[in-house]
Amino acid sequence: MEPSDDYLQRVKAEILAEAAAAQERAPLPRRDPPPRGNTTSALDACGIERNRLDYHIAELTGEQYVAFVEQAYRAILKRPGDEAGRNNQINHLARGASKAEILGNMRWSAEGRQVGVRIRGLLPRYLLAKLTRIPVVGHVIDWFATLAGLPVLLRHQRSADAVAAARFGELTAAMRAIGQRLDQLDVELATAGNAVAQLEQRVFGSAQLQQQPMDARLGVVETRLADHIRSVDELRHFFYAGNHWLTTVQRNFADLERISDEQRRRIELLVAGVNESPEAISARSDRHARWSAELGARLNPGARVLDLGSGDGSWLAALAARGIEASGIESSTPLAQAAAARSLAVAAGDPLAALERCSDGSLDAITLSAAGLCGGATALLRLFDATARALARPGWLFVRIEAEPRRPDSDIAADGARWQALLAAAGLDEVSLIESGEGSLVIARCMAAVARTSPSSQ
Amino acid sequence: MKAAILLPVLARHDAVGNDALAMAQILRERGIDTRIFCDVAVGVDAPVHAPAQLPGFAGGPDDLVIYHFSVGWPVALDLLRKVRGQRAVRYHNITPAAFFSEHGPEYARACARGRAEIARVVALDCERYLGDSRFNLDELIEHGAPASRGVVFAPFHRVEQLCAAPADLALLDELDDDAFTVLMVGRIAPNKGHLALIDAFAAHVDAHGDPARLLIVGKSDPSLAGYAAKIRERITRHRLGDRVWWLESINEARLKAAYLGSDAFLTLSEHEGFCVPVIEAMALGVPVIARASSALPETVGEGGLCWDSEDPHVYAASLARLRDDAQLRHLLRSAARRSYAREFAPEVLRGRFLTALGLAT
Repeated sequence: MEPSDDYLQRVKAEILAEAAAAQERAPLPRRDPPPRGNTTSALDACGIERNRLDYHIAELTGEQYVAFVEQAYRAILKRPGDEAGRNNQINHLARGASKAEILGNMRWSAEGRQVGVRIRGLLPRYLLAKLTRIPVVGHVIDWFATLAGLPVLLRHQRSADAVAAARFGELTAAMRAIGQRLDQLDVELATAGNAVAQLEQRVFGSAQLQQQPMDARLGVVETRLADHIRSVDELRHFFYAGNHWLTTVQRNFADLERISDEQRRRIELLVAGVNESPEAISARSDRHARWSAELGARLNPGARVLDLGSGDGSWLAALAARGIEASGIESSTPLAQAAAARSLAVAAGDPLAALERCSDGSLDAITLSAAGLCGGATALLRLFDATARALARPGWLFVRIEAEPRRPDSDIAADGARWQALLAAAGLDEVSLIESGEGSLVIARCMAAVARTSPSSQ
Repeated sequence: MKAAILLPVLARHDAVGNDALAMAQILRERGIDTRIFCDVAVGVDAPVHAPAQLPGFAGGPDDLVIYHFSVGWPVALDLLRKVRGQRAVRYHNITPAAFFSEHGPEYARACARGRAEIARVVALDCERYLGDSRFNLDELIEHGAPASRGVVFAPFHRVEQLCAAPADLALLDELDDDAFTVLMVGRIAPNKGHLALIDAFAAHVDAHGDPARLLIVGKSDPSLAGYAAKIRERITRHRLGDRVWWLESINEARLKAAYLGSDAFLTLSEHEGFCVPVIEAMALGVPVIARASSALPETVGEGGLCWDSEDPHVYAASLARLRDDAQLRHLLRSAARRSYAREFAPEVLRGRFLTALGLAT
């Protein structure tokens, strides 16, 4: 809420009117002021009664030494004593100055006069103290004052003796009482010591009682733990034994595979080393010569020919004799090496895989040995697919079906009529069969795409 | 750039000391190497240096010297003549000697010396004149200081710390009765108007009735014992007795309790350069009634009632109106808190201080 100027002006005008009216009124009767509690005592934060300006000398001489000086500062100068001033007053006391002289010095100092504290009974004592400071005269006055005060001193002495005797009696009684109390305390202490010892014993016994079942339980747990550890050790032993057995089996299988490969290599070498009869070799050369003539009659010069299952290269040699350059693929490494030894272009490898890599329609003719294929119906499907992709249009496929004693593992049909039917079913054109003694040659022309043949048609 | 804060006496919980310490702290926070140079340091943990070392530290053309001018101190004039950098005079005002002529001749002479020095400080042609209040700055301008170099911002204070401090519960409990409690905070000095204050309070008691209580919080000075005696005599003459509680040398907790337990803050001071207790009252929600003298109207602003009058009945009626009018109390408290936040909050003062020295970013 904003204090609007109008509002404040109105309030101020009313206040002024009230002030003027109040001056005309009679004062109200006074009531008792609010009671003041203990918290706002006459003492300020420094513990000084600033408002009190009236003391009796007896109030200020009760304390001794430092406490006396500090009290004098607070009462007379209304402030705590500063270090230098306090030391100065204490030195005065140490040199034999009377308390009245110290109090008077402070009261009638410049600062003390400004504060103006009234100390009843101080002035005559202070004057007397000051008179005794006058050389010679002061000494005489001091003597006279002392002599005059002797009866008082004697009374004080007798009174002090009486008080001291009374106090001594009281002290003796108090000491006796304290001694008795100490004896009682010793007894109580001894009793308490016994109680503590009993307590310790009970605590110790209780701890022992509780410890026994705990020990028994701990023994059972330890036994079970040992059993478990033993079981784990046995399990680990079985695991290691099983692992060792598996490793041994793996090693044995590896040995068997190695032996099998060795056997196969030795068989191939053995097969490659089989000697054919001169008549068989001659008949095959004649047969190849005739068949190569069939091929040569169908191909243009420089045609590209690929032979699959070239064997030792005798067919390629027959083609070369006709002037037909051809390359061969032979799956049997020893036979391929034998063909290479005759300077024929025969590479070792899978014939069908090689044919599939030539799937660019650039071959004018493919010749293959039926005995050089293996793999059953799957091999035939791969053959027809690859042939259709590899042959140019038109292109020729020559299948040689003849016995090959160096190929013991062929599983493809060795029947010319069957091959003729298969090629016709695969969609090749002009499929013809040429019988020649021990072998037969199936010739087919590829004019268009070759249809896939179901393996079941084999 | 280096900065020097120069003042004769650095005292803890003193208005000038608080201002100097806060300035040094702000300059250090700005990354400026700052030192305080003074003759005497009382109750201050911060390191201080002898004034004679000032030219060697901050006498260069890029340096800054801020002189807190509150008493006569010829040493400062010599030092300000020696330095070549920016010189700023922070004027806290000096009480006219006439106030002390009756009760404190020493003070009167010191104040006369200090006021005579105003013209000499102005003659130094310093680069900045920083007034606690417009009233203070105008005094410098009257003595010849260029108005264009003057800036006004309130002194840095410890009001936030007072607000955060715990209050003395015992005193608070004691003040928690049905008495209407009037508070005055300020040292016991003749310019503070204690006699007029007691007259006004007595008029209030006579015209508007009990129960009422006057709390006078302030440190007395043995050198002004006569003035203190006169106050006591005035209290006795008005038969106020225990209605006046005189709390001397109280600590922060009791001071806060005094504010919280009071219904009104009344000051009839005749000369103030700023008057920090007024903003303490404003921050703690105590409605302020003040005599419109010196810098008081400027400090009180809209946060209290200011009267250009010496008539005690005006102040008595103001107290009575404040006692009986809840709406007025609420309006004054709200306005005081707004005024404090706008003019006297530490962040506001910090910004004005840095702007005045051209250090604001």
